Amino acid sequence: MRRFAVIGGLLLACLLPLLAQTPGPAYLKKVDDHTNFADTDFSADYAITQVKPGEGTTFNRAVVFRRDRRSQFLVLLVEPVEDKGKGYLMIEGGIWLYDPKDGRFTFTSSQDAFRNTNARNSDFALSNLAGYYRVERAGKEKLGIFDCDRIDLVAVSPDAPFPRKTIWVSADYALRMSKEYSLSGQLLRTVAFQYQRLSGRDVPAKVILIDELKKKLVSGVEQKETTTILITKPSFDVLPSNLFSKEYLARMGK
Amino acid sequence: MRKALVGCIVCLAFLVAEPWALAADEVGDLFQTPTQEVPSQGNQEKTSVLNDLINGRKLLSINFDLYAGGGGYFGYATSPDYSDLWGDLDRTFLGTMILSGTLDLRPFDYLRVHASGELNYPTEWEGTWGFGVNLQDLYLDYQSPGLLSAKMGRFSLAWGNARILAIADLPNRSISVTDLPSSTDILPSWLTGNEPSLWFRMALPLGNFTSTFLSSLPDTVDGGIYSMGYGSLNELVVGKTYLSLAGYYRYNLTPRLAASAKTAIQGVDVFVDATASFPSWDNPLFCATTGLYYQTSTGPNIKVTAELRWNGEKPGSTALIQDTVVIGGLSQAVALVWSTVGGAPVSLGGTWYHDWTDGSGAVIPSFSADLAPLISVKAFLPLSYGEDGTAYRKYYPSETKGYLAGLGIVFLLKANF
Repeated sequence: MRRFAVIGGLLLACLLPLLAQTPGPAYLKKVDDHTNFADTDFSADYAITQVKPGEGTTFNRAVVFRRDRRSQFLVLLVEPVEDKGKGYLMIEGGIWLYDPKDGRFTFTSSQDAFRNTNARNSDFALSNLAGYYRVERAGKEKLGIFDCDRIDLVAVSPDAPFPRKTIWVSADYALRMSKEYSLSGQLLRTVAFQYQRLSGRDVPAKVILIDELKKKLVSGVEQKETTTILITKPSFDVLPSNLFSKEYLARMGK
Repeated sequence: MRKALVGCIVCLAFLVAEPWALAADEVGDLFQTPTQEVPSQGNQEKTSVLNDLINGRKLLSINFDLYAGGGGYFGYATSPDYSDLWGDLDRTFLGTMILSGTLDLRPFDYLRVHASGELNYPTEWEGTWGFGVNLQDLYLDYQSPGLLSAKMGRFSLAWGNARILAIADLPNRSISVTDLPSSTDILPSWLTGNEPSLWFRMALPLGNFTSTFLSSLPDTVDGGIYSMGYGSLNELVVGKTYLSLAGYYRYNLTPRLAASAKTAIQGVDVFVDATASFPSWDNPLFCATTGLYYQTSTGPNIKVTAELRWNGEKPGSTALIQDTVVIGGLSQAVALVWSTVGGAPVSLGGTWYHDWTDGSGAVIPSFSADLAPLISVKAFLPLSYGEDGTAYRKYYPSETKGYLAGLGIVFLLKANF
């Protein structure tokens, strides 16, 4: 009897770590926690370069402010000069677009493209994989130097930015890559992340977004529309409370 | 057999390498280096983008733009005499240089003085050979360390949701807008802000609720201190729904209340504005405008709006309804602008007004193109229709530049320094 208890205990001890690593809602929550800044404000400079095959390059620069604990963000455009002062504000679950030219706010969707690039407005918002998706399948895969969990996700909420997703998550719960699919399984977008560490936390340093549908043959080579975001000057400084308001955006836009 | 084996191995290699196939180069590079520490920059506070944004503003900054524009407006202000079409044709030629400037003075973090304006010479080719001065903005802007902010001076503002058939823009209904001079810039009015006026505005955002107090400032044109107006706008945002309640009263004009709501359905803004005016307290008159606004976020750069208005205010029914919207009954406006058509620096657009009560209307197609980095051409082709005496034959929309039918074409050369 005592022998069975010892064997049982050993088996349990071996299985527990495996059970703990099985991706599920708790696992996705840890990925969200890694991506979000729930206990602090966040601000950074985003340099956004879009390359359209055969059409050239466009450049936007924005300053991004996030208060994830209240699901708020403010994205204020700095470049190009003709769009300076335009801004996106997420408050109360809605995203507003402000245009200083006519001084008006319009609603925009989290699923809309950001500035006609391959980034979506949702890319600036709080990550909510645990709330939007359930795990369909999981496995192991290596991405470069990172041993990753490869997890297939299916949306369980209509607010999910994509109906299906496959994500690659490294051992520190950092989201390394994401492939986003339509309901029919058509690959729509690939997003890859590189991080930088600030005050012991990971912050995106470079994000590459590849539109899998917009492609062209250039000199006989198939090229896809790609957006690269370089994130610099990250900071966890406390932001003023009035920053996440329409009033502030309109004032900054002037 | 050997070829088949090699083929199988190649296929297998592709399958195994599938995650890498998406971008063996740039994306793959992201996974080759471990996470790096952000280089220490001493006092972290000094590196934040907010501080950059605030500190990047100079104590004093002055910018100038220099434009040179020329062109002509040709058209008929009234129905022409068909026997003398050329003689009745109004021809206005423009040729002017415009020095446009902005000034920002920030003596403290919480205070800003802003001014912008234009100096043009000559004002018109066929007009006087003198200087024209147009002060656009001149205001003091104060932001308290808390939430309260205040702004005083000459600036523009907009209430309500409708951009063309606006009724809930109560303060702007109460001000006199002088006839604008022939302009070298041809822009649909729904894409530009309102004309500036003298205001004092104080706003207090409290979470998803913002309360604004507004008063007009005394000016020499409209009767000084006794003709000041007072109003309040209270806005609430709940998810994708925006609600507002406003009121405005100016001496000797009609007191009005306005309620507005806006939400987004399938990416389209849907809104309604409604007003009640009180020429006498027991006889309120009502107006309502409902509409849609949509702008693309990807692909072609298109903005479109459609508005339907019912105006129940009866001009002339009482002395107080002098600031009413002149076109009564049911009317509509549809407008579209398509920028960078086909990726080229060309914009096409147009506005269509129609009064369902009397069948009159106006169509104003417009076109602009950048011919070279600093040179652009803009054109519009207004046409009003309807029986004589009908609404849009009496009151031309501002975009027609006062023409029943015509053509405006303007070339613009721009430089800034």
